[in-house]
Amino acid sequence: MKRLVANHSRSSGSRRPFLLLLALLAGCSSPPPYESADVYYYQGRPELLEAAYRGALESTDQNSLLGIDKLLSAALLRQDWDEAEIRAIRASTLVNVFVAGDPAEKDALGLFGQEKDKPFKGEPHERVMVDFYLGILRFRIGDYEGALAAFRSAMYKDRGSFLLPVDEEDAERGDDNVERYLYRDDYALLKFLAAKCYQLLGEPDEARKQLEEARKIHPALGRLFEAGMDSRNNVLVVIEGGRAPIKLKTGPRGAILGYRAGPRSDVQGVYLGDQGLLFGQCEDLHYQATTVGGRAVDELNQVKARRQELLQAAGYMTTLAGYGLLIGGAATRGEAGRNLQTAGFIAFLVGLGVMIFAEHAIDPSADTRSWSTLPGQLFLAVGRAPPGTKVLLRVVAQAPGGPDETQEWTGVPIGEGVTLLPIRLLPGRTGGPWEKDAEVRIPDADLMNGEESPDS
Amino acid sequence: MRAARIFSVPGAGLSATTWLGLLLVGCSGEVRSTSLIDPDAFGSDQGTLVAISDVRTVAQEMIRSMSSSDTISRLRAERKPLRILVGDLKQRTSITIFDKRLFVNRLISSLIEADKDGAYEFIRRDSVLEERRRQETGEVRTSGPGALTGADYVLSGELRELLHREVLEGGGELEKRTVQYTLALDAVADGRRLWLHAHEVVKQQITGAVYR
Repeated sequence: MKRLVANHSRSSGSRRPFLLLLALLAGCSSPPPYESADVYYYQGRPELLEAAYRGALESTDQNSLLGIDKLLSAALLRQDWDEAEIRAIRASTLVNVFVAGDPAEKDALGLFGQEKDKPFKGEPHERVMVDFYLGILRFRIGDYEGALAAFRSAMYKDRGSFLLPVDEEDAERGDDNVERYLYRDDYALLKFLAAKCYQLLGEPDEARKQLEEARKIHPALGRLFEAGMDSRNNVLVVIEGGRAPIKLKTGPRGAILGYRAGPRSDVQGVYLGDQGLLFGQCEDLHYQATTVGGRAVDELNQVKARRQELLQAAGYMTTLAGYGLLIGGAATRGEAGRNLQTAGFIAFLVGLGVMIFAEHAIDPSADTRSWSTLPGQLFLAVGRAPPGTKVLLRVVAQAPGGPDETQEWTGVPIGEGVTLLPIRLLPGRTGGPWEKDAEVRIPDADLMNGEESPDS
Repeated sequence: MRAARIFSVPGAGLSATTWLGLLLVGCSGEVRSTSLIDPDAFGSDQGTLVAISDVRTVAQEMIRSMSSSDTISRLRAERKPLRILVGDLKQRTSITIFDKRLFVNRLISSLIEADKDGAYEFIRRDSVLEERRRQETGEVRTSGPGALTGADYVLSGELRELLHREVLEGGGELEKRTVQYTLALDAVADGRRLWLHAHEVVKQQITGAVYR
């Protein structure tokens, strides 16, 4: 996989001057890719990311959802729950509404369009996370009905029906040789949280059903989920660790989207004061990203790649023919020879033009725009603490072979009912007072002297 | 192999002149405008979310059903106005963007508008809860204008959905969402169900092949 990426990079590099020239000629401007300030998120400076990407909130270009997704991550990291919910609602609207026949979507389907031209909606695991966050934020404030809708909406995004090739031995001549496969959603954490919502809404039958499904998906976590449903356990800690799966262009001409797991985090203990909490890893987003059946759009990209190759071959043959005519013309005397040379020269140029055109005007590569601030793993911890108190929350964690990621949060308020505490593990993030005294000022993008040039 | 069957690729049959023209003026990184979706609106008129027009339709349908109910007509003849507590509306769909309060407001205001002879008096649940809170905290000693005990009937409701998806010939996916709105009127005294009506709104959207 790494080798394929390296090859692709070389290819991109060689054609960059040509593309730049084309762009200059045509006077084009690209929408912001919302990626240059990602680094601030991992440095624990989300306000700088927000300053760089806040244009996404007003924008309607094809990358705006990508910017909003990352702004949502930043607000969560700042523990600005109100702002995070506003952004999650906006992201959820964009993720859930598909405008059929959108011009940019049609362009992406075209031979000369690129997949990255389509309005970004994210891959299924990214779409799931939009509604997952919305559910978490609503659960926090006791809106269990709204949370349930969001968790169920997230589950639907992990389902699919795909036509996949039959096994070779089952293939028949003249037949389509494809079979329909149905993929069921398998986020155990979503099932558990939906079960908890049903329980809190007073619908025990539905709660049991969801809990049973969660247990089926992750039998090893059955005890943890049971503990979470125990009404005496009033504290749920949802811990995000590691980094999002990394998208790669694989296959012929990068036409197929692939994934590499991002750096991970391992939670070793979760404590409320001195009390150790029951915890477990519920989800691995790399696993989820690679188990949803495949992408229909990869097939489209491969068709483009094949047509690109055909066009290049046609150009090559025309060039060769032209070259042959040139040689033949040179060997022929008189006007006939000159005519032959002219025809050969024209054919040579046309062939060369077609080859250059096919290489640069058609881009069959997969879309690798990515919600890169997502976690790689989701953990759940369950415990209890007296309502109305403020407690110390300690999450002991380590990146395998990497830095310590332990966090200690003081003054964590335990409310009436169920308290849900979202935690994001990051290297260098050590915790602090749970409730911030002052509002964080988000700087203007143009005042960020000395910082990396942001997208805006 | 699969793609050749499933997809057609627009643009493949263009003439050389058109290609050359595209090469000269085309731009792969052009900013393309997308349809503007207002996320602050109550749902959207696009897609399968609940739109304000759906709420209007449902409200009208409920009024029509209430007006044609013999039981309610009989009650109205016996007593006027009917004091109705606006109870809970359960939202059990997977629609993430749904403002319950806005839905109830629209519903009740439509019912009041249609109620020309003042047959109904609606008591809002939140005003009852607020009254109870004020009484419990000692802010007020007497109950409000019949807020806590005056209702004879309770109007409650539920939203449920059926979600159907099917793969389309072109590689896209059709999502059809049937949202069922149910309202019921129960007597406070004995819990008898006096009226119930359900109305379905079907909405659909196509997820393009590029998103699958």
